[in-house]
Amino acid sequence: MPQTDVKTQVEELSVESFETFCEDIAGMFGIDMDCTAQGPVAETSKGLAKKYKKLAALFTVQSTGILDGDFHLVVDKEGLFTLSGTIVMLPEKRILDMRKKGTQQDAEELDDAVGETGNLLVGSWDRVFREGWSEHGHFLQTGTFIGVPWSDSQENIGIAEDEEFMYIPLEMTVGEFPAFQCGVIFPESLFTEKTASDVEDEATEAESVNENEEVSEEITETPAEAAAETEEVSEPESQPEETAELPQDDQQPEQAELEEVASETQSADVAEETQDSATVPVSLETEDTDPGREQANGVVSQSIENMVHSFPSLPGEEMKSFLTLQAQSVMQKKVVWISSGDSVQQAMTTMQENDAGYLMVGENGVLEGIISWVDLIGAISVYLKPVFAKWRRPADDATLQIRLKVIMTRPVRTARPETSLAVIMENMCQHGLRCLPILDDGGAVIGQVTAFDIFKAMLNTDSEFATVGQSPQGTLLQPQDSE
Amino acid sequence: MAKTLMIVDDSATMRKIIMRTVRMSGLEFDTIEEAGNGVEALEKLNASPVDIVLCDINMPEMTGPEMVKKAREMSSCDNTKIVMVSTESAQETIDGVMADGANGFITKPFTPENFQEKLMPFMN
Repeated sequence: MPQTDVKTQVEELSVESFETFCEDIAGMFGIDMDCTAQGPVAETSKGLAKKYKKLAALFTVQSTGILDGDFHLVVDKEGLFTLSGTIVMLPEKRILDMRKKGTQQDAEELDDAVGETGNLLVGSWDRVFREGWSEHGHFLQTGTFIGVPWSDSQENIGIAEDEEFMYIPLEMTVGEFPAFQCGVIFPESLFTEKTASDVEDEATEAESVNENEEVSEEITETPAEAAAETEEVSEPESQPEETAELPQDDQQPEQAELEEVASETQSADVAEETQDSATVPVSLETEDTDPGREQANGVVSQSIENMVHSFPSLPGEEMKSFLTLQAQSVMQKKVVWISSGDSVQQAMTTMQENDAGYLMVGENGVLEGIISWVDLIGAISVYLKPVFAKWRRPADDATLQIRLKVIMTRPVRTARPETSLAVIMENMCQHGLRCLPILDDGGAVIGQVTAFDIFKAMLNTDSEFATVGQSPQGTLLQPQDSE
Repeated sequence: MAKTLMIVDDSATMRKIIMRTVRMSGLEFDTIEEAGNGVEALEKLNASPVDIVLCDINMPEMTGPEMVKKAREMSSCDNTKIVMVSTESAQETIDGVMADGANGFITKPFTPENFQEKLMPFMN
């Protein structure tokens, strides 16, 4: 890019950066802020010494990318006390006093706040340049100078007294305080020392380093520890009898409840079909603290619970036999594995490639955790949705790189092949789960039972089940839903 | 149920700003702890884990990314969500810290809405 174009781009983005900073601080602190740019000028330290006669705060910014080197953001004494006083919420009168009579010692007492002012300023700048200029690398605040930098500018800001630089002055206002001066100083060397191809080469190199780092990342959890974390679902001996002995009142669920169950079951089938065709599984199971977890009283769990407690009232003896069906007769034998060190993005791809709603997390058949599609959706930024693309930022993309070991559900509740569906359903309800891995005697995963597997088994078992879902308007569950 | 929060930043000013902004966001926390660097944060987390940690990147003693790595090796932090809060928004930095175990990233300057959006999923 020709030097003049670079300068023009820098000038435009600099003004936009100051404006964005005003918007950001206004949003953070609920105050009005504004700024007016006055156009770039060629300037020297001597010249600035006349503009900034008193104290000033000067923030040194290290830039990478097409602008490779340091530049400086500067605010005058009034600006220094106004901005730092505002962010630490000093009384208005105190800020006004310091604007007039504040000394270097007063400023140094506020050094933490002054430094953070620079930090926030650089944050706004970096964001604007990142979004506005693909060849921009990164801005990092590397220093804060409080004092009179021009007296020894070579020492203080690395610019010789007579060296010319591009200076963009602005006038800024914060709330009702009088306006103050601020600006940005770009050494000429920034515009001459780097070409776009250099930037591309560096970006490629950085990318390569990043990839290598990812490959070499260690997986810190040991399989043995993870295995110890699994909790097996045990089968209480009296479970079927207890279920059969529910009080008479509970045996006749309200029509609304029945409709809810039927509706849920129908939704589940629809979801299953969607999963099959579009590879978008819709299911949920995580720990209490996990945002993706359905609460124990969530919609699907509630439906399962309703089903568990309403079995005796369901028409047909087949439902009794349904309760005693064993996990091995309904489980999916295909389970898909992934490593806990893999990323959310890799898990999404694996799920889609395998048409799976859940992934077993672990190494060499040792189960460390379990992950569902909803866990993944809960972990990534909503701004990754195409509809929010306009507001998408690097931090949003980065959520795809979250490692599964951070979000997976553990310990994992598991069941044995001979565990009855009644017990499995009871456990799903109690713990808000929709998938239980099935382990053999040796602790190896041989399958999984999901809520949808139970729905399918129920429909297969009881030919009259569809009548349960009847509403006054007709049958909610159509015969073709049964498999 | 209200949650517990820890703010890790070497700047006392920034910790106060974050605390104030979190309160403005309407999110309710039982307790809000503070730590000035990664080492102090890990000591506190070891003694008393919290639900959510808001952590700066550039800090003396131990940086934010280093703290995240170590926290993820601590069983007491198994359920702790760590959200980075920083002006450091280079893609490789963000990717790296997310890969090391962070759960989210908020860039400075921020607003109460930013905190609400990023932390709300961890409040349930």
